[in-house]
Amino acid sequence: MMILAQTAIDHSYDLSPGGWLTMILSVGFVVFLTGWCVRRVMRESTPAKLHSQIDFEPGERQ
Amino acid sequence: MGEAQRKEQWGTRLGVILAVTGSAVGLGNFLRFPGLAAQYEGGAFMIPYFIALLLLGLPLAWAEWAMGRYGGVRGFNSTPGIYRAIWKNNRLAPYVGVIGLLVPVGIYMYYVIIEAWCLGYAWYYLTGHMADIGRQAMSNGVLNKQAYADFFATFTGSGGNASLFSAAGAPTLVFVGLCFIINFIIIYRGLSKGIEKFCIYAMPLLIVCALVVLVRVLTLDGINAGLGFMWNPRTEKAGFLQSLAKPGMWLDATSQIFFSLSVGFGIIITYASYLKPDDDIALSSLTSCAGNEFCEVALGGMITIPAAFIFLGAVQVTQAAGSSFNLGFRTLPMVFESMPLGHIAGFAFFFLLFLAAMTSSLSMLQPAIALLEEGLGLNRRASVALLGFITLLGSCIILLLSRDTIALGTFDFWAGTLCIFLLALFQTVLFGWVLGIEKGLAEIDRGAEIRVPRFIGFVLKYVSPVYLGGIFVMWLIQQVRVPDNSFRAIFTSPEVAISVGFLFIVSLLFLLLIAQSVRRWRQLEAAAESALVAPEAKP
Repeated sequence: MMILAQTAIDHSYDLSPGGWLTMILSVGFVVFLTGWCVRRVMRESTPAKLHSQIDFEPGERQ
Repeated sequence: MGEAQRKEQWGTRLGVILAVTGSAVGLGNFLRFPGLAAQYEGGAFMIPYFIALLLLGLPLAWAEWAMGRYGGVRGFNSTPGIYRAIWKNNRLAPYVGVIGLLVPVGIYMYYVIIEAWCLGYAWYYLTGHMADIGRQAMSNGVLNKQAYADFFATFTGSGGNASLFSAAGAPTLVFVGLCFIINFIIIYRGLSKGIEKFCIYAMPLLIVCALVVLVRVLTLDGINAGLGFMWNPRTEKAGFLQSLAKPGMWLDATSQIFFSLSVGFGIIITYASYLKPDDDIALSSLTSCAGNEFCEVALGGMITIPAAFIFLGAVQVTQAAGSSFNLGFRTLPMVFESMPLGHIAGFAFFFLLFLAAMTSSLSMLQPAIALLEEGLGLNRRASVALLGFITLLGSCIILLLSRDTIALGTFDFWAGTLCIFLLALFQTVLFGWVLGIEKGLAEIDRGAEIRVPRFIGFVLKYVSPVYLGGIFVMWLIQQVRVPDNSFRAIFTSPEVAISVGFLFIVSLLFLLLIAQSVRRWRQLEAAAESALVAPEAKP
């Protein structure tokens, strides 16, 4: 199989410190958020669910 | 409302999250997002992108989940029914639901065709046909771009109208037919046994395929430059702040978030209506948004553009990045042909695109099925058959008028862009100003496993409508400024006129169905009321 353009890579585009920072922050944020959410969802014993105001009768203590 | 419909619910919580994530993850995650990021100086694009996610994407997703469950608890699963349940004293509210039906059904008509292209490309990688094209395209160690462009034109029929209805177009029609059949079989099996079961297997498989391609791309020589082209904030000429001041970048970043999360499609609201009254929506919504962002930023952002840059260079990639079809179906096959183990990566990539498209197209059928079942009282077989007939007609028009994908682009413009803006604006107002922030946040809180910050109420009431309205106006201005814009094309292009005419007829049909549904709901409510009064009247 022919490998094209491998020799013509323009190294002036190599990751700069700003590029590293942007990539790590962007990818890191979505990976962390997804991981955190999945962990919360998969956790078997979920914490007591929050209740909204409309779940309570007037005068009932929350 | 039919008894069978009332009983339909999601089987598992993971199932609903994967179904909503699957609905959101599509071709845009792997082709449009990286293309835009590369076009707008890499890193600088991510700032408006994440701001739009926090101010528009997440709040609108929470609002749509909340309105969906609110309507579902009151016995409605379709957008007309849900809008009627929320805006009780407005007789026109259910009729706005026509947009909530037109958007997913209109998008389905062309999306299933793109899905078939992805399946076709994956099949051709698997059977070695793409390798044959590569061999034919190779001349003096250089791949001929034209060979791939010709293959795309023949396979999609973009060379001329009706060209698919010849011997050369037969494979495409087979793939489209296959995708149609698979979609409707899954839809016929129902919400839990069909959509949910499919997504539970398809989504992890999609991730595995993406990881296979990601590993291949990240181990290529020169990946440092490829990633740099994608992520470096290239603001040497203009400066960082001046670069951020580009209105076009904000418009595209916001549109990307908005379309990527599938808010304003009428899909999330329908899916959420099948939840139980105390099911969590706060964490589920956040998880499906996060899953979509993971696929878009962590997978899509690391694969497409870096790989294309390594083999094709900055100029070619910049040219291709403006069009998802160009990038995905003409440029990337050249890239896969050029890399070691490229055919395996090519199969994995197009198969993951097929899975992503499939999980999205399935979700587009459910809103209309919901109306046909609950509004007209049709059983599943009848509603699937009727919707199958309507969507098949639309897809046939797109397949017939295939020249330069004009008809496909027209469906995308009217149903897949303009109507989405209108629907999202309406839903934002419906949540913030009709249902009310207090009641809306209380709905989000019911059964919630995380507490949504209270400022989201302010954002949903004031920031989101203004932000969305502003973006919509900017988008309209941008469209109108183009000399041959999509509005004028109705009068100059027969393909556009026929496509818009068809969408108009479908809208009228949906309006008639909604009118009949509203009449039926009134009768059922009156019957329920008299049944309550009758025993009390007895001595």
